[in-house]
Amino acid sequence: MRTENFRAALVVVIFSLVYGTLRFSSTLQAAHILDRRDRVDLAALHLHGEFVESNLGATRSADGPVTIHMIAEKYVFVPACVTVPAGVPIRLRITSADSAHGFKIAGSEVKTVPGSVTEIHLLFPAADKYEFYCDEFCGPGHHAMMGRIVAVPESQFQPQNSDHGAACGQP
Amino acid sequence: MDSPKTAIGIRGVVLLCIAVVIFSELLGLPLLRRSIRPAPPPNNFTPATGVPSLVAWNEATIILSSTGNPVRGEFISKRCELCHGVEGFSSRASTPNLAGIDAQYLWKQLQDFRTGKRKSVIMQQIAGAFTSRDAADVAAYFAMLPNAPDAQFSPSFPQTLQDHGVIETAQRLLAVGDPTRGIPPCQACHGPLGYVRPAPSLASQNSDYVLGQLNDFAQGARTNDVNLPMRTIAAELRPSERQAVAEFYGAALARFPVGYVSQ
Repeated sequence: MRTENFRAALVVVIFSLVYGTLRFSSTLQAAHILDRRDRVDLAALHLHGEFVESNLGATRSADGPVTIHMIAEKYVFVPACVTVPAGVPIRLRITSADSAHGFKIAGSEVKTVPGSVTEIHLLFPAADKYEFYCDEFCGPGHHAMMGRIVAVPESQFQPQNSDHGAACGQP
Repeated sequence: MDSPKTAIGIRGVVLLCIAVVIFSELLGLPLLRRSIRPAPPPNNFTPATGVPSLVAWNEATIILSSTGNPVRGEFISKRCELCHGVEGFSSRASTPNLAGIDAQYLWKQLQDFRTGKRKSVIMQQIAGAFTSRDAADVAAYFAMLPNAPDAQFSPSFPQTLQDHGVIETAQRLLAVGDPTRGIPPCQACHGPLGYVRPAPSLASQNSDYVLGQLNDFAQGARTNDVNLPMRTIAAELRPSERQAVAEFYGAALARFPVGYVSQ
């Protein structure tokens, strides 16, 4: 009886440790996607806000930081090919137009859900082509959902919107 | 008989753990409640210049575009017959077939023609005479028509396939796309495998029309796809691949999911 009581108590302790850790981290540390500042109007992404067509792609503000605005939708990333400077910190702001999507590039990955903006900070160490993928199953076209980021030397960087893949050597 | 080492006892530990869980729940609730509060609507709503379409898929537009009256739509559709055919199957391959087309897609195109977001000399005039409700009714009528052509109205669909070499390319693009270039399979959005609002079904669409639209998307002549899916994909398709896909659709070979039936 004593052993059973001890085991039952152990179960409760382990459960609450795991549960408490999850709850603590999801509520206080990782729930950035639910932040109110980062909500966008899902139905009118193309009408106003930071994800209008002319604002997609890499832009550089006057004081230097490079920002990429990107939309993940079934089953493409828009823009699918972005040129960025190498060796410069990049802020990627991504939102979804329909369902949950993932954005996986090299060792980093982030999820994005419709209606809110996910932000991730990236640094491309060398001039190269980097492929990124959707790693959250989103439907029958999920396997082909990918895009490229082309890092170029900083002197050659021209801020631009979607160039229809010309920088990626397509088609 | 408690040992002196466990001062609070097993029961105390259990109660402490339960208290921790309840506390973390209570801690999380106000944070979550604050964050799911809807964002205030923008008070300075002015559509940016160069937007692809003025249609926004909110509750009102979805209800309006999917609850048209097909009987009233049939009367209005008499002015479509000359080009789009008697039962929605055109006799010219460069004019789209409208039979069985997705109502929300057709409604959105008519809205875009009305607002000049999609360019066509003829359609901008015809759709310009419609109200939003007229467009919904016409869309409901065409969506109701069977998507199999009636030979007595001499439809151009289906065209016979001139070159059977395109079948392999087209099947690959319809069934799996090209993952190395980021081209998703056509049938994942345009059916019959899956549909995405408001992508139209292409199962009974004319080849010349499909090819023309793919080229227009690729070259930026048609820009009314919201959030640029088709401009992105068409630009990555090679001209020979656009041709293959268009001929495959125009020959009525995409009426069943490709890759699930043997040809």
